[in-house]
Amino acid sequence: MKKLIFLYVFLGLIVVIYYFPHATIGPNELAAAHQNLNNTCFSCHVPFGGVSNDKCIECHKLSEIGKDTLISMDSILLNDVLFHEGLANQSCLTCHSEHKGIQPTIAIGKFEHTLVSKENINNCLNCHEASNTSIHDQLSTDCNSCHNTTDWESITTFNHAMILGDTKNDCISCHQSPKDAVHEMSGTNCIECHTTTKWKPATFNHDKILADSNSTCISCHQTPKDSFHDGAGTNCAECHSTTKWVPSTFNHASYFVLDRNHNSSCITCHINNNFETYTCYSCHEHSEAKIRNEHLEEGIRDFENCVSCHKSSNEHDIRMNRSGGDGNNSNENRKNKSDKNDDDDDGHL
Amino acid sequence: MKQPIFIKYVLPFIHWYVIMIFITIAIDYALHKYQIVVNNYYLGFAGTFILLLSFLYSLKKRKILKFGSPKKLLMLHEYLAWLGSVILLVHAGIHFNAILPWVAIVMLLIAVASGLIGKYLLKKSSAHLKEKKQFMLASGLDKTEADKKLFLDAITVDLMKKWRMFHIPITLLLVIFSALHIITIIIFSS
Repeated sequence: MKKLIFLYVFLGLIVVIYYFPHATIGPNELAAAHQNLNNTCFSCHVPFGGVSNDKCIECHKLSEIGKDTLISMDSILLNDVLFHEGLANQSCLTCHSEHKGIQPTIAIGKFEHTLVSKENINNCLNCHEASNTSIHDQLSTDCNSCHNTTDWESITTFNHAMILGDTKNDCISCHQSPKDAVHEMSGTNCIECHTTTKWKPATFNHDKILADSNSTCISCHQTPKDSFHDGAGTNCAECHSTTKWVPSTFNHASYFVLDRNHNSSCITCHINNNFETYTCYSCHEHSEAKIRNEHLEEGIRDFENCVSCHKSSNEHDIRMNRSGGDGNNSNENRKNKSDKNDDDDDGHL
Repeated sequence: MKQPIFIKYVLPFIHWYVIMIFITIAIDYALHKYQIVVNNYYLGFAGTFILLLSFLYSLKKRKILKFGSPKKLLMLHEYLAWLGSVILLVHAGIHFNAILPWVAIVMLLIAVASGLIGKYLLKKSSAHLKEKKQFMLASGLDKTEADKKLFLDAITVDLMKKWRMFHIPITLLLVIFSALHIITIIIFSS
């Protein structure tokens, strides 16, 4: 008796499945256009054979596929390319699937471009609509230069050689001009400084700026925030060139030669790295009292600005100030006493 | 000290059931997260095959199978049924589409719960029979013979009889729904 009950259950279920196959065994909804086939599984399926192309082609003639569907899809044009006829040997399921939901686009897998004929694969515009963005309007139709068939967004390096006509030299037709002081002065001939392969490094031509009398270095460049440059003024060209920032042409020897015992750190003479002032008294050899006595013996009363007379550690290499005191006076003579006092050659001021 | 019934019988049942659900979710989550594509047919085959293996015990009980220890085959039945269920739950996923396979999964879950209940009912019955074993040994019966006799006795006590009246029909329904699911898949797939 128990066995009979289970047999009846089994047979009853088969009847239910037979009359309600979509609800009982359908894996998911069919596409909207196939909804009328919900309970007629064998419209598409072959018993023990899956879905055959023949079943699809019974309704969808290969020569007709696309005439009423491709035109409605985004970015795809209806041209004369109804390529399905060339795919008769491929399984429809390679690209299409069913039971994925009512929306028909869900039922279409990723389009396999390798199935397209050679004639069409190299002519994207046979199937796709040309992009009408401002960038694409100026380009040739060689889509492969930037895009590939797997992903529209996977753009390789943009090939500027593709740009047609005079647009090639009109960078701002695609690029925006940077909104900074440098570029506002620079005009629109970007190629003067930039290349089409990289934005940086740029080869800036300062001649263009220097021709403008209102332009100074700090109009574009920021003064370095260190004490050395704090006291250096704004005439950058005294030390730096327009071709390279480093090395600069600053020459300490034009003030004082840093040789032998004077080859020490900046802070020894420039207290607190203040390069506007200096002192020679920080060395035991140059105590203020000693310096005073030695200079007064010579009748020199103004001895505070050492480098106005002494240019190096050679104490005989002296530029005497005839005015007798003003170390900053430009009327100076160089008096070389080396012939007379060769005995003192210790190199101190 | 006597353990409360909840700890001794209920907790182990919940423990095995929760682990089964947890492992299923973990596997399903990992497959989705790491985009591991496993042919779902293979999971179905594997789960079904393991479940069928677990039925060796049923064959032994009905004396169709001549070899094997009933105790060991019962243990095999418990563990293989649990493992096969995990695989079939992963195979099913959480897709509320066709009714038939979902009813089969519901039957599977009920059958596993029923099986776990039976496992602990058997444990309880065995405890009652311990005293009987002592008596048999005292009366001069061989230990192996006594074990065998007591094991068969334990599964035929009233409590177990009532349980089997539930477990076996549920299992049979599971077999029917699963068989129909497999048959329809074979008919409609290539």
